[in-house]
Formats: sequence, C-alpha cells, structure tokens
Amino acid sequence: MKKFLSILLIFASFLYLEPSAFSGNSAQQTVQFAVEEINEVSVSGDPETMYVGPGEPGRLPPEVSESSTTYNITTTSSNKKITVHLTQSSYDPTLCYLKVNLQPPSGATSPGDVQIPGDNSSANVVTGISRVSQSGLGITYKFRFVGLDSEKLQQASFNFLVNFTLTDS
Amino acid sequence: MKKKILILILFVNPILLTIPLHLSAENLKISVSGSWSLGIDQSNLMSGGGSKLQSTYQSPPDATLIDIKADKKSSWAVYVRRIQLPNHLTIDVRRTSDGRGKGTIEGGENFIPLGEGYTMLFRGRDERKDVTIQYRIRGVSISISPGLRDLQIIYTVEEDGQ
Amino acid sequence: MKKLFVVLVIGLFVFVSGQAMAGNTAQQTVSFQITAINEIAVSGNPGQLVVNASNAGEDPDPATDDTTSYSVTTNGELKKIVGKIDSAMPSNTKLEAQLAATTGGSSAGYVELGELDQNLVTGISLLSESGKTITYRFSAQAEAGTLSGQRTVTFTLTDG
Repeated sequence: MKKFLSILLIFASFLYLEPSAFSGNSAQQTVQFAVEEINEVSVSGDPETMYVGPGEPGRLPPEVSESSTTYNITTTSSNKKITVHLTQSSYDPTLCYLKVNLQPPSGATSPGDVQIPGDNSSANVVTGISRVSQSGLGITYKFRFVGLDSEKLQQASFNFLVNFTLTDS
Repeated sequence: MKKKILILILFVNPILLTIPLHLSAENLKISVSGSWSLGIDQSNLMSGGGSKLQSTYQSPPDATLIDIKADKKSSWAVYVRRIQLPNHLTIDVRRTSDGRGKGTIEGGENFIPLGEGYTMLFRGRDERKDVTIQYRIRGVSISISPGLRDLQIIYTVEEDGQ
Repeated sequence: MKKLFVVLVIGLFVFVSGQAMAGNTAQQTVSFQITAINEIAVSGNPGQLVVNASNAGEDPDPATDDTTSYSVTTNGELKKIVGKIDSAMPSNTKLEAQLAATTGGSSAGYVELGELDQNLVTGISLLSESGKTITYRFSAQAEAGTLSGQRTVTFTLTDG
C-alpha cells in the first residue's frame, strides 16, 4: 500500500541563529553649547560704622578702618577690572579721605589702598581679572580727617554710598 | 447445518455494515507539498525604534498544495490540527482554491484557527489535486525572544459521513 | 462448512483490529524565524545649551534641555543603552545626559559624557517604548571663559 507521507521534521528546538549583538543599534544627536559673557560682583553687606576718636590734642584724629565685609565675583571674561566711585555722596578731599582695599581674586592684582575720589569719578581697585569665580574676598575701608576745619569737623556723621563696578580694562 | 449458518449471519451482518467503510479508507489518501518559511526582523517594526512589531503575517496563498486521492463518488473531509504552539501565537489556515479534478470541494474559504485537536477544513467528493492552502500567524510581539520555530501542521482525510 | 465458519471468524477479527487505523495523514512544517531586534531612535536634536547666568562668587548656572526623547525596541533581554561624545569637552566644562528609564529598566541619572561609552539605562528587556525623555545638562566653570561648540552624542543599544 502506497502511502504519501511528508517528512516529519521534529525541530522543537529554539535556535539562536545570530549572536546577541555587541554591535547593537545606535542613534545620534548633535548637541550645541555656549558660554556667554558673565560678569557678576556682589558684596556681603554694609560695613560697620567707623567712629573717629578725638585724637591727641593739637593733632588730627587717627585713621580708622573697617574690614567686616567681603565681595564675590564671577566672570567668564578676560582682563576685567573693578573700579570704585561714590554715588549720591561726596566729600572734600582737603578735609578727609576714604580709602578702600580689595583683596584680589586669583590671577588678579590689587594696588592696595586706593583713595575713593571725593567726587563721582572712578578709581581702579583690582585689575587683571580673568575667568574666575571667588567669594568672600576682603574689603577694607580706611577713613581719616586730613585737614582741620572746626566747622566741618563738627559734622555728626558722613555717609558714603560706594559703588563697585566690574568692567572692561 | 441451518442453525450454524443462521448464527454466522447474525454475527457477521453488523460487522459487514462497517467493513465497506474500512475498505474505502484504504483507498483514501492525502498528500501535501510546499512550505512556508517566515523571517521576522527589524523591518517588521511598525515604525522603527520604539514601535511595536507587526503582529500578523500571511503566507502566500499557495503555501501548501493538497492532493486527495479517493474512489469515484466517495465523500471525504479533510481535518487539520497543529502541534503545540509557543508564546501566545495563533496559526490560522484556509483554502484558497478548489484545485483541479473531476470531484467537488467545499468549505474552508475563511481562516480558521488551529488547535491541538482536529478541525474540519474542507470536504469533497472524488479526487482533487493542487488544492491551495494559506496560513496566517497572529500574536507575534516583541516579547518573543529570537530563534527558529517549526510548527507542525497535520492533515488527515477521512470518509465523510454526511 | 466448519472450515468456512472458522475462516470467516478469523477474518472478522483482522478487520476489527484494523479499525484503529482511521483515515490518512500528512504533515506540513511551517517555519518562522525571529532575528534579534535592537532598535533605538531619537526625536531630533536638543536646543542649544547656553550658560549665561551666575550668582557672584559661584560657578555659572548650568543650562539644561529636555526637549528630546528616545524610543527603543528590543526582543532581547537585559540590554542597556550607552552614550558617548565624539570628542572631549572644552576644559572646565562638562556635558551630562540623563535618560528616562524604560519599564523595568534603571536609569543611571545624570552621567557625564566622554569619549568612552557610559551606561545610561540598564536592564532593558523585551519591550518597545517611545517618548522617553533625554535631559542634557551643560555646565561650565568661570575658568572656561566664553566659548561655543557642538558635540555628536551617540546612543547605542547593546548587551547589558
């Protein structure tokens, strides 16, 4: 008896025909980035009041100083400087002076004590500032009477509004 | 003597009623040819990375050819089943042509799902050749791990009692 | 007559035992092969990451972008996504990427990208998911100065 039979393939096996790939599949993105010019400076607050003592008879009162405040700076630029000037206030330089000394950030230079102009002009207090961020840098103020004017010396107090500016050299 | 003959007839008659069926089944034969090999890869993703895999695949309409050899005027039915199917898959089958020959054929034009038990696919009379069969696999998903699977489809022809 | 009777009985038993052989059968093999599928795609490019603000005394604020996403399909198990850039970042800057985890997977959070592949998401198995957020973070120290540039980031779905 002729029987028609198909060949029975009993492959119940589940074969991995391709190795699980280290090649994998990939996708790409283009990521653009930029750092723009940033110039930020801030101070920790107002210094304490500087009290001028009477001094020795016949002599001008001694210089007083104050170092309780600091400043912070961040710049992504190069060769910046900090200048200082008074706003909404002034003084007669024949009568007194107000000086300021800023601790420079890394890589920058401070000329030391700088007299803040009695008018509203500016003076450099730190130069050569480049790509830096630092905080808690010291500010020292110094005040002294330089001339004897009994009338002006009787003025009860002086208030100075000091402005620091981070700007191009 | 008469008594013996009578007993013989009583025993034989019920069986003689069934013998013709067994004798005809000897002349009822089915043969199949053809094959279907399906390859599924990343090109079957609906829309690239992150998309689902196409879940349903159909074979060519003539993936399998069936020949039925039968006595003239004999009625028969073709049954079909599958061996165990993995991973939530369903395989369907349908007849896509009448084939050729002097006999007749009917049924099976719509897809029917195959189970492990026999399901009637189509019936006919006399001989038919090159009856074409199409398959459909459903339920393919990304949850099926890579590999080669072979599904066994078993066709059986029986005398049709209708 | 007796012989005829015996022959008939024996013949009947032969056919009865043959009753078990019902019909004729043939078998067909349907083969299907599923290959390894590992596909990852991204939705496009992120916007430019621009560092332009800072508190005095601190490093500039990082720039972030989360406008893009990735999609992944794999029929493998315990795959991972790694990422790298085509060349080193400028000095004093870094580019980080954070990929949202797939279901059942784990994200490494922000990972600094370099020229070598870094694991970004691990434990990826048998899934297709889309719209998973990619977040970039570009940060620069003040020492980096002003600059601009771009890098090509490559994400790869590979064995874990």
